[in-house]
Order: sequence, then structure tokens, then C-alpha cells
Amino acid sequence: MEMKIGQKHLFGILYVCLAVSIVAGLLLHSHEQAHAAFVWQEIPVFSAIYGFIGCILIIVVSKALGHHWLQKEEDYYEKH
Amino acid sequence: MIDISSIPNIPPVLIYFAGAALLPLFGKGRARKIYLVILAALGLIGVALLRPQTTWDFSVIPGFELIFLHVDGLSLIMGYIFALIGGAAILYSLDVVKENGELVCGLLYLGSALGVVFSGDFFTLYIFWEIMAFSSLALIWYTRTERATNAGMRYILFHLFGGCALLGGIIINYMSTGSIAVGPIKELGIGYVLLLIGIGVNTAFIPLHTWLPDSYPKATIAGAVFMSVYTTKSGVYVLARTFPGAEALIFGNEIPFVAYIGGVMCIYGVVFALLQNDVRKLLSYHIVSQVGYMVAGVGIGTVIINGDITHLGINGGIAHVFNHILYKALLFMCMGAVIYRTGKNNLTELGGLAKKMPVTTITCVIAALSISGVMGFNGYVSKGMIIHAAELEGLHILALALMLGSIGTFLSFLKLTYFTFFRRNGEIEAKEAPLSMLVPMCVTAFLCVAIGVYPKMLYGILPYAVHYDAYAFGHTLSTLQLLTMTGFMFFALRVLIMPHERITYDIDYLYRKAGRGFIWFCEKPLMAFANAIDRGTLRIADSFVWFSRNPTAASIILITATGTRLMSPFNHAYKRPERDLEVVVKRRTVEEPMEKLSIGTGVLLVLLFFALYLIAMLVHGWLA
Repeated sequence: MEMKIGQKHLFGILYVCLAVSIVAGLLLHSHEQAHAAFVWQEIPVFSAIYGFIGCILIIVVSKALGHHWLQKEEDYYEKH
Repeated sequence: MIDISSIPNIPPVLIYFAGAALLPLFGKGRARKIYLVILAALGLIGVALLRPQTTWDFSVIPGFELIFLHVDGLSLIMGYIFALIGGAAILYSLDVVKENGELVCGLLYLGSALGVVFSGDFFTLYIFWEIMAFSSLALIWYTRTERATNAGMRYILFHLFGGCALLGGIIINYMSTGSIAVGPIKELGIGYVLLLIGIGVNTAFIPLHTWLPDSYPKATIAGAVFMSVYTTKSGVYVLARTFPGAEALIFGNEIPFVAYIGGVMCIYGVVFALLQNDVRKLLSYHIVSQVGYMVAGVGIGTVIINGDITHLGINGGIAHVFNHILYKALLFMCMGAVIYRTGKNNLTELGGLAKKMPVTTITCVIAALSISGVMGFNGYVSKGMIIHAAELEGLHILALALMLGSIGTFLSFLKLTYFTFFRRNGEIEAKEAPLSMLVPMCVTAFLCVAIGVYPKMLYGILPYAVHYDAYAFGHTLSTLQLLTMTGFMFFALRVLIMPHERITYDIDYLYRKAGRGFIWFCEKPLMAFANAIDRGTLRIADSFVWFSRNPTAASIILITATGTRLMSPFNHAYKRPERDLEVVVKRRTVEEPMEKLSIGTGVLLVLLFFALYLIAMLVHGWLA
């Protein structure tokens, strides 16, 4: 999988957005005494952390399910 | 100047059904195209002119009203989006559909979906529900491959099962309430469960969803665009009518179980979508996942904000139906265009189309960003509403599940666009899709962006007042964090989510096994049992025939046979009972006819019996 030149710019934007949103989240958290309805809303930048964990969770779970159990050859149903 | 209010409301279903009936008159050339464009416009105008009221009701039996056109805020917004995307799908079909039959079925399907939306009573709803199932079946079968035919069979089996459950539920509900009007179901019981199953099949509740990813990828290119819109979304609409905010007592707590069903669908869909290689199968699993959001919204129902009861959940669900129809139809149109131009439908074979099909690429990226809920696109403004409603209702786990669904959705659409358009692939040959496909794609893409940038456009036509600000700072920020982190993780872990040339089996494996088991049961044990009964009966009949040839000889043979059998254990000197039997049978066989009597003797015997019978009767009467 090779990268094209245009994609590098895209990555730049992505990293900047990620950084800015995390910094803004931290600032907002320190300034605002949040009226947290849930426990996790008190965690700073919870969404970013959840995104990180969620990605790993989904990818690992779906890949594990696929490799060890659910995936078959393309003509599996015709043969069995 | 025409006074619009003087025009009577016409059921939109009539426009499309009449249109379908007249279609074959226009041949297959330019006339058909012009006719279809006019029909699409007429349908849209017909829905736009509807005003909230009830018209077109027929009293079949007194107190038993069939309502063909029940217009209110909820049915109007569904009508708008169905007619709008129906128009886009008709335009999309102009060049790609060759056979009139497929178009006729597409129009019947679109018309009957509008029929479901505007029906005011359950029986009308049921009739259109079934027309929908059969007309969409044709859209699968027009692919004319063996796999499509088989998938269509499984599809219709599922929908017939769902239809039966729905009808059963309707009848039981009518028996207990005495009303067939479409409204919230209050009476708990078997009817409640049957209605939920009937609607659940069309709404693709887990584990009733397998027909969807099984059949949609095998439908025709234009057929899949139609199918991605109507069946599941009319299901969500009926769910919003009948089970808004439905709760059940589970372990002593009132639990909004429909909302949780939505949460399960949401995650289940994305996990399976990530494993797919066929592009339209990936999209199909995302229908399951996205419908999960809608079901969650409808299941949450009303939410109390600052002491006021608001319909945030239902509003969110219906807004998501509207937005989802736009971007999902667009995705199916884009992937249809890719399959139309390349003939390939697997991610492993695609790639490098960004330069060759630029318009398709741009519209597909817009649709992908919309479904992922990126700010500025329409998915964001409705998905946020549902998650917000879940948070306000205190459904913590559900809110987290829906956010996890968002992450998974963004991952698989990064995967889809990357592997279809941006990955290098020198071998692929393609050119841009024809204009008749590009026009509806661009219009739909424009609407996705327009609603995302200016959500009031959508909020204005929602059935209830909206208490939600999509671009509140905290919410926007957390979505940005979630999505940028997901984007980062995709590129970091993209080796892991490479597509493979494999299929993934689902719960459908169990259904197929069960189906095969059922057929084995019918062919083997059940047939053996039937044959045994058959043979047994025949043997009894045969023995009667044998006995009645010559009853005297037969009785002697039977008595001798039984006698020798019974005596043989006690008489050891008596070695060969079989031979003795043979001798008896030879001496007097049943083949030799009995002495024949004249008819007169027969009549005399009959009379004698009658006389005996008479005496018996008289004696019996006298004794009593």
C-alpha cells in the first residue's frame, strides 16, 4: 500500500485536527466544572480515549471472529 | 392562480401503481425515459401537495374502516423522502435497466412502500406490506443468476414468515381492542410479540436480519438502490407508530428493550461489515447497523428535558431515517456505478478508480462522510440527536454502544473508499458512469451536504418540535475527537483490515442448517413413517380381500394355523408344523370359490337379519 502525495496533506490535516481537538478538550475540562451525568464524562478527552479503545476493540474482535470462526472460502455454501 | 387547497388529496400509491401499469405502453426507447422522468416528478408533486388530514377511507363493514390515506406529520416526512429518493432511483434506472418488468416491479415496490406509510389501518398496511415483499423479490430475481434465485427464495421465505406473524398480531390485536387503527400497541400478550416479530423481520432485528445481507448484494444494480431504501425504513416507520418508547418488565425493571435491540443491531452490523469483501454486502451490513440507530431512537421515544416531555428519541429516529435514506441510496448508487463500469464487486479486485471515475469518487466520499457522522454532513445532525436522547434518558450503555457503532462505521467507510477508489490498482479499466446515473448521485450528495450545513431544513419538517442543537460546542468537539482518533487508528492498523477473498457466515448458517435438517426430516423419517402407514393399511385391506373370497376356508386356515403355532412348543414330537399347514391349505384353498347361493336365498337372509334386528329393538324397548 503506497501513499500518494495528496494523502500526506490529508494526514497533516488529520493530525492537526486530532491535536487541536484534544487540547481544546483538555482546556474545556479544566475550565468547566462539568455537570457530569455519567462517570466517564468526568474523564478528560473521554471521546478520544474511547475512540482509541473502540477502534482496537472492534478491529480485534471482528478479525478474531473472522479468522477463527466465521470466514470460509467463497464457494463454501455451494459445496456444503 | 390555482387554489392548492381545492385539489383533493390523492394517495401517492395510486400514482405509482398507475404509472407501473402504463409503463409497458412506452416501449424501451426514448419515450420510456421521458415518461419515467414525468412519472417521478408527478409522484413527488403528488406527495408535496398532501395536507395533514384523513381522506380516502372506505367502510367495508360498519365500524370497520379501511383508511388508504392518513396524513400527519410523521407520515408526511416519510412520504417526502420516499418520493424524493424514488425519483432519484427512477432516474438512476433510466440507462442501467433494460427490462420493463424490472422497472414495473421497482415502481410497485416504491408505490406500496408509500401505501404502508399512508395507511391508517392495519389491514391496508398489511396488504401493502406483502406487495412490497413480492415486488422487491422480483428486483433480486432479475439478476438472473442461480445465486440470486436462491437468495430470493430465502428472502421471500423470511418475509412470508414475517408477514404471517404481522397478520396474526393484527388479528389478535383487533380481537382484544376492537380497533384496527394503526397506533401504539398497549395490550401485552402473544399479539404484541407477533407484531414485534412481524415488524422486526422487515426492520432486520438481530437474529431476523440474515435476509438483508444475503439478498441485497445479489439484487440488480438499480434494484439494490430501491431495496436499500424501502423495506427497512418502512419497518422503522411502523415501529415508530406502534412501539414508540416500548418498555418491558425485565427483572423487575422497566427496560426500553426496543432501544437495546437497536444498540445490538448497531454494533453487530459494523463488526460484520468490517469482515466483508463484497462492496454491496458491506453496505448491507451497514443498513443493519444504521437501522439500529433508528430503532434505538424510536425505542427511547419521549425524553424529559427540563421538566418538559419532548419527542427527542422519535424525532432523532425519524430524522435518521430521512438522512440515512439519502446517503445509503447514494452509496448504493455509487457502488452500482462502480459495478456497472468495472463488472467487479469485491474490494480485493477494485482500487485506483479515483482518477477514472472522479464524480463517483467525490459523491461516494460525501456519502461515506455522511454515514460516519462527520460534522457538516447530514448523518451528524441526526445521529447526535439519538445519542443525546440516550444520554438524557440515562441509558449509559446504549449511548456507549451507539458511539462504538460510530467508530466502526467510520472505520469501514474509510476501508470502503480507500480500497475502492484510492488504493493503487494498475489493472483496472473503467470510465465515468453515464449522465443518467451521475445526475441523481449529485443531487443526493448535494442534499446530504445541505442538511449537514443547515440542519433547520430537516428539523422544520420533523413530526415533533425539535429541542436539539446539533452544533453545540461540547458535542462537536467530542465527535471531532472520536472521529479523528478513528481516522488515525485506521491508517495505523490498516494492514489488519485488509479485505480477503473470503465470505463470512452469519446466523444464516444456522437457518440453512435448520432448513436442510427440516428437508431431511421430511424426506427420511416422515416419509418412512408415511410409507409404513401406507403398507400397513394395504396389508390389512389385502387380508380382508383374501378372507372374503372364501370366509369358511379362510377361517379354517386361520384356526389351523393359530392352533398349530400354539401347540408346537408343547408337542416335541411334532416337528414340522409348517408342512402340516401346507397340507391343510392345499386341501381347502381360499381360491376355490364357496358354494354360490341364488339371489332369492340372499334376499331371504337379509330379511331374516332385519327381522332379528327388529326383535332385538322391540325387546330392548320393552325392557327399558
